[in-house]
Amino acid sequence: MRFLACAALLIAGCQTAASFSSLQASFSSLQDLRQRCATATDAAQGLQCGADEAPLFVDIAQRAYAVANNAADPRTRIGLLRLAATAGWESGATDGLAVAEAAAADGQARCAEIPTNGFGAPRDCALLRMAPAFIAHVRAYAVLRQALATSAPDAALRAKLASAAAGYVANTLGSSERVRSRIDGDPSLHASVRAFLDRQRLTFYCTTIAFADVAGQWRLEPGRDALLRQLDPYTVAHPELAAGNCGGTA
Amino acid sequence: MAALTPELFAFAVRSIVRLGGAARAAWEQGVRDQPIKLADLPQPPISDDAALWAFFYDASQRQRVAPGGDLAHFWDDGKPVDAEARDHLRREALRLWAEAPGAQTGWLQGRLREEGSSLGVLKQWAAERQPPGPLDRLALGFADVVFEFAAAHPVALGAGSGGERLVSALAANLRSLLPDVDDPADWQRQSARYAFAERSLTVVLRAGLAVAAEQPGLFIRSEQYQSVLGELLQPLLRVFDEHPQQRPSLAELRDVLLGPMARAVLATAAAHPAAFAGRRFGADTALGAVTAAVLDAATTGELHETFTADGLLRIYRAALDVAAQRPGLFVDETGARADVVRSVLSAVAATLASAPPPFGGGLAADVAVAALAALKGNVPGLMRLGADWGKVVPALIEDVLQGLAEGLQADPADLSFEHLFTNDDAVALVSTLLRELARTPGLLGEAARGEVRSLVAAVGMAVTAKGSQLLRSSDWIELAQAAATEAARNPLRLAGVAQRGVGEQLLTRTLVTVLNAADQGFAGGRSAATLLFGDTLRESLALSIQAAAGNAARANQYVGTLATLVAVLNGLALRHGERIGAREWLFLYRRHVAAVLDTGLTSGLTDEALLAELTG
Repeated sequence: MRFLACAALLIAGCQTAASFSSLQASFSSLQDLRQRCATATDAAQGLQCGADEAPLFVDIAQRAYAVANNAADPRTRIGLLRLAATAGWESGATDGLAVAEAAAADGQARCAEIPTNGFGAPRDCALLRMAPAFIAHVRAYAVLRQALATSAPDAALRAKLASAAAGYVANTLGSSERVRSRIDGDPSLHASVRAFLDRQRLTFYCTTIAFADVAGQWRLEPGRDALLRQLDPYTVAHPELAAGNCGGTA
Repeated sequence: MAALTPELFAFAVRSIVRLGGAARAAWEQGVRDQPIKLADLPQPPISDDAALWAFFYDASQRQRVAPGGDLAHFWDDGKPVDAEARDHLRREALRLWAEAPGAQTGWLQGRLREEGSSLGVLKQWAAERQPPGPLDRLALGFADVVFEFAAAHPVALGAGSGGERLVSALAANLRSLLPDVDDPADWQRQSARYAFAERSLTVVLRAGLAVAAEQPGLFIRSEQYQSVLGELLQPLLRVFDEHPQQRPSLAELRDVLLGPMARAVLATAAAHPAAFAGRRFGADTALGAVTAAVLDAATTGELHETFTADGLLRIYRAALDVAAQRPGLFVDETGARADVVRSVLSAVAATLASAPPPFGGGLAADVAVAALAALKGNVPGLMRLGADWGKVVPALIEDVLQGLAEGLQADPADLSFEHLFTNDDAVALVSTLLRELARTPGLLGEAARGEVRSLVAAVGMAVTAKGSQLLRSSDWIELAQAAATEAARNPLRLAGVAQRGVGEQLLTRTLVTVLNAADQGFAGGRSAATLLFGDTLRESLALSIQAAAGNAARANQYVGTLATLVAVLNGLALRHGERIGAREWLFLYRRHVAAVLDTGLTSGLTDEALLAELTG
């Protein structure tokens, strides 16, 4: 009898849940490690910091995306696609971001198929709908970091930065605000998700200021003030978007 | 161990797959709905000057740094012109920040609070909107399988043949009540109801199996079980749906009463199998009406306080017994009649609230049961009243109890009733009166209420009369029956005569006169004349009632002469103790009571004449 039960459980696809659980745990551990390394010295914490975690995040993203194809329950599939997307953008790597984009597109389609009168996956769908903005931010942030690290940018970098800066507000704030009303209108969603999304909205705003600063210094087009003017619709709608909340550090 | 039949094997495989599916679904749900940690997106550092410019270049301040603005001269290409300008701009920014709308500082505090509480943890569901948890899913999946198993193979539960049908019926009911865990509207709206219903069915299942085990010969078809048990549960669920504020007490009621009620239904089924086969005892019929009334009483404030759970259960059994034998009392072709049981309970509760001891709340259930028993024996007479019969019975209860109270309270200091009657005796007295009165067509209805009340009051007053202690409670009960019978046969002769108080009614005067006279016989202590007590006194009182009822007009005039007759016969016994015993005394009383009441004459009743009658 026990054999039959085990067999039935396996046939029914418990491997999906096992993989999901394991991948989610790995993702959490990796994030913890990254955060602890960012705030502590290796010696003090006995951590193995310094290694590039990006490939590990990419691996999680790719495996989650692959397992998602085997999930019978659409909500489990959405959960795996959410994991693939988050691990993908956390990696910051090109192939990780590609997985994140694909997972976000697939996940958004799956979320749209959940009946409105059914139990879905509100957090995971919210993150998947926001994922394009997050991925755009991570891509743009990589360029910005590169720019901030150099005092003599070459033409290629100037062009890359100008391109990244020009589309940043539309790809982040513009993209995310388009889906926020739907997300905010979902009574099933836990408040912690909205709080998280609000924090990322401020990050988009502050990053725009950083882009504007560099654009001003490098005399790029669009220039500093043009980029800042792109924020107008969002600062009017969200008073918390104020430079005082970004914190001057340099 | 039973052999594994092909059907059982197939069922086992299906169940395992389903349970496997439920387990997998529960596990998956647990994994995908678990809180996740997610880091904030990376944010680049921003220089103070860049932040300061962005602050003043905001749409709300922009005109101040534009050419001609009051702050324009502090800036040069997005940077303060010098350190002094930077300091000035910082002070101005801080001033503006301090005066900023609450949303800014409030938002900051809120952000800090959110970060502090969530710790970067994102949850899937708002608490009030979340689906049933993994354990709920598994439990429901398990229940689903168990009950399908019970429906398919009830013998495996060891319940025996009667249990098979019962369990099949219950399983069918339960499966229709299980929630669709994937339908938020259904689950969120009714999850509490389902939990309640599932528990209710479990209680009924346990009770039913106990009955099936006790009565292996019980035979009810599965569909009849299903209908009857549904009728038992539906009123409970209806109250649950309609009165959310009563749910805590309903849960208690379910745990205390539902099992015994189910047992009562099945016991009734065993006692009256033909009734269960009848359509009118099934769904929407007598059983439903009776069940709804008792559940209503158990959850309604006033009745809930009057009737204990045990009392309600006894009432339920009695009502079921009546309903099984006489479903037509509760339903007709168009459905349930007026809520008779509810009316009976209300009448009992209302009347007992002001009834004398021992009729307090403690006897409420007994009185209600007695009333229901009275119904059962008198259906033809009640049916004659048509739809009004439902009003008549509560009125009868009220008249009997209030009449008794009126008679007993004629002398409030008198405790004879309490001394003479135990609780059981008191209930038996009321039960007897109800039964006798209910089977007398003429005493049912609005017009007879005064007569009924004064008849009972007369009995009550007699109980407090001097000499009443010479009778036992059982004698009083027989006497009450005799009085009711004679009153029924002779309308408005013994009691109920207008313009007369209870003490002036012929029945009262007859009883009190004889009782007082009997008491006189004991004034000198025990002697050959102390014959009039117990059976002898009861019979002499019954004879007196009969004689008075047969000749009421003259009896009203000469009823006092009965005391003389008693005194004459007692004197005879005293003087001729060797010749006059109880039997002889009663013989002579029977011979002369009617004549004495007719003429009022006792002058011819000499010792010689009376003794001659004994030998003649």
